[in-house]
Amino acid sequence: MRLFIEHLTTLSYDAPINEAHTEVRLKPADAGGQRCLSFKLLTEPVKAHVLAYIDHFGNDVRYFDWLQPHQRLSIAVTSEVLTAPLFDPGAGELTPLEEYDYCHPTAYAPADEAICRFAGPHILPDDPLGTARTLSEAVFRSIKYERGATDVKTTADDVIRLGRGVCQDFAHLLIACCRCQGIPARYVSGYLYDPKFFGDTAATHAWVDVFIAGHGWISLDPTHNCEQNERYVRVAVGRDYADVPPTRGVFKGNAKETLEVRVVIRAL
Amino acid sequence: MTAPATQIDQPILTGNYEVGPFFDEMFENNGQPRLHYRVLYEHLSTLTRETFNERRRAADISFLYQGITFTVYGQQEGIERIFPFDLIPRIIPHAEWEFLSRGLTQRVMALNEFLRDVYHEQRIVRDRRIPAELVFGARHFRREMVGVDVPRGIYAHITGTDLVRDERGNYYVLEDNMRSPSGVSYMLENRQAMKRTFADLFERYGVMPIEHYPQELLNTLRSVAPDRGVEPTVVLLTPGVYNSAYFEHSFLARQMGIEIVEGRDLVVHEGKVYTRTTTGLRQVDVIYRRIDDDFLDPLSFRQDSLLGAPGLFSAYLMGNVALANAIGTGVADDKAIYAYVPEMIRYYLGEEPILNNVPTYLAVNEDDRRYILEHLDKLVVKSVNESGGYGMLVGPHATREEREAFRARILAAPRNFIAQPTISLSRHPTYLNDELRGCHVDLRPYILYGEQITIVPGGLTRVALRSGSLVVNSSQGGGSKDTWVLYD
Repeated sequence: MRLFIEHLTTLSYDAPINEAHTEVRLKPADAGGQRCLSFKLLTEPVKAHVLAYIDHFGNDVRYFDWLQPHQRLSIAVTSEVLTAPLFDPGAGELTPLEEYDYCHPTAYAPADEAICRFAGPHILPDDPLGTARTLSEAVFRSIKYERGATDVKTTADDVIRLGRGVCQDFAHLLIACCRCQGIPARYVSGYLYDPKFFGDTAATHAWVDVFIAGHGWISLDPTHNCEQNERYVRVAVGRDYADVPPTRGVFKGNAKETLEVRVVIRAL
Repeated sequence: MTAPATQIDQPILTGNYEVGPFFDEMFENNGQPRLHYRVLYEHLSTLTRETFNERRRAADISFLYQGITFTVYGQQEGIERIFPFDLIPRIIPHAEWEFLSRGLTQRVMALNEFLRDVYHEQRIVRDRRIPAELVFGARHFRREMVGVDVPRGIYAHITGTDLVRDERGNYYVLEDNMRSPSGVSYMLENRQAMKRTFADLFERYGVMPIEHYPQELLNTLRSVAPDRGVEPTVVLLTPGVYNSAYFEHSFLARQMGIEIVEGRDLVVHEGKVYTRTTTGLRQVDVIYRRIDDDFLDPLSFRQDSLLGAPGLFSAYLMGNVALANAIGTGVADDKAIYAYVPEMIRYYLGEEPILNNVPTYLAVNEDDRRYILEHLDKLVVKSVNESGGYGMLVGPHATREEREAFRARILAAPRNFIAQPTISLSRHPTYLNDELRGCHVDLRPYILYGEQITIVPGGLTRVALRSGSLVVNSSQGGGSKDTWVLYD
């Protein structure tokens, strides 16, 4: 499927700030059978000189600074991507660091009693793939999708307690459950194309890759109880959300920042 | 005991000196001076308390004038003290130094290989020679550095390795300080003070020079500068005047003729680092940073850090600026990783270690942990990420309460602790209360790794000035001595 994505981020400040440094993880990945056909990043009102590097998870990172005092900065990203009908599980081995990182608890996906209790009834002995799928379905059935019930700081054990959340929360809970069963799991940030949602942030999405020896990566979406398909656009992967925020920045000045995001995604 | 006033014309070296059950650097067990100390011994035997005290006062005043102080943390208020300096030099024969120098070179090469490996192929982990948990779970392991190529493949440009000797005089490596080892300014200042106070002795001994250290350090820093066709600009990045080692930072910057900067003096623009000068921005090529990784760049590391420069890490990744030491060297000076250095030497260099490690028990291993908890009264327990003698239990000297407190801490976080047998550090005659007494010493040579490995002869000899104390850190009541490596 060929998709066109417009992702507009506007950062506003209630007082002038300066020496702003911003990192952006928004370029669709060339991974899992998906190809990024074009990618453009423009800043307004000043055109910043944008630099790029690949982080240690393999994500494309764009970086720029804007030193002069300002109160508004917008980042307009447009990309065109060719998605794969089926997610390609990739080569069959993890590096020692991936094995460590994707099996260890993190701040968003801790390994505590609540997680183990939640995961317990869904474990299929000697069947990690079956277990991961069952867990994904369990998360889907136990958690009610509800905007505003959680925020960007909510952790997987909060989600169990609340019983509600958004895609990020579903993903963290599934990751925590898989890891406590020794199944390597990572956070995927990206987009989901759904013509029903249009013109707001609904198109940004998060889901989970699990690694199964002999299969490679399997990509599960606990929010929709399905596997990744051609309507999914992968952007970045990491241990949890903290590794892959779409934008991250620091600035000098005493001001309150307001972040506004608008995403439009169209099938071509 | 303070000597009565009538005895000021007595020689400072009397028949009362006790060698004790330790290795004494100056004396054999039978009380005879070792061959390389004989000239010094004869000199000290003629020196009266009066003359000695005069020279000591002169030396103290010169230290005070130069503002050579350090800060003691963990006290009610920040206390600035003169770093106590002892006038009796430690002497190392040439052949002994050659041996140490070879051992240190081997060690730093292996540690550097280790760093390059864990931030690239991770072969040593794949081959199961070091547990993955230990490497990737180390607090100072920097995953952001995986896959990053650093200039010349050198991570540890400056290492301060602590050496001690047991009761038979065998040398052991106690730890490798690979983040921002401090103390080298004292090494240089001690030599200056000694040359002023004991010029006569230098004439009788052939002492190898150390005064070129700042030049060697500068050469090392320049050797990793990105090539942009101009004379590289090197700066020293300090956390600021409140840091305990600020004196050293300004001293070294002055000696090297480079600018000393704080984070707020730096600005990153379009992937390049600049220092703000009165005439505008000047591009920086190499940063000798005396700030921990965590604080270097709030964009990539600790967001609340005000000490670093936002964007610095991106500039580093793009190869536009070099950092010494490289980001991520802390994993190699983790005290649990230390236990595997002999293994690294065999694995990367195919050699047997020249210098011994102290036997080390890792609390993270169940058997070791049981042993540690059963022998808390005999072992030294160290927290793996601390330095400067903080977070440490010297079992034989600790109270019951202190030991119980450590037991609880070990059980709560085993990965954070290691234990070692107490080593009866060697002793050296040291002037305390008007006479010479045996005080425990260690030795910290500074190993520079640029185009090649350079070690100025000797290093900083630290001495425990609290009676019976084995802790030589300046922050824990230690002092220092000049260290003389003799010509062949």
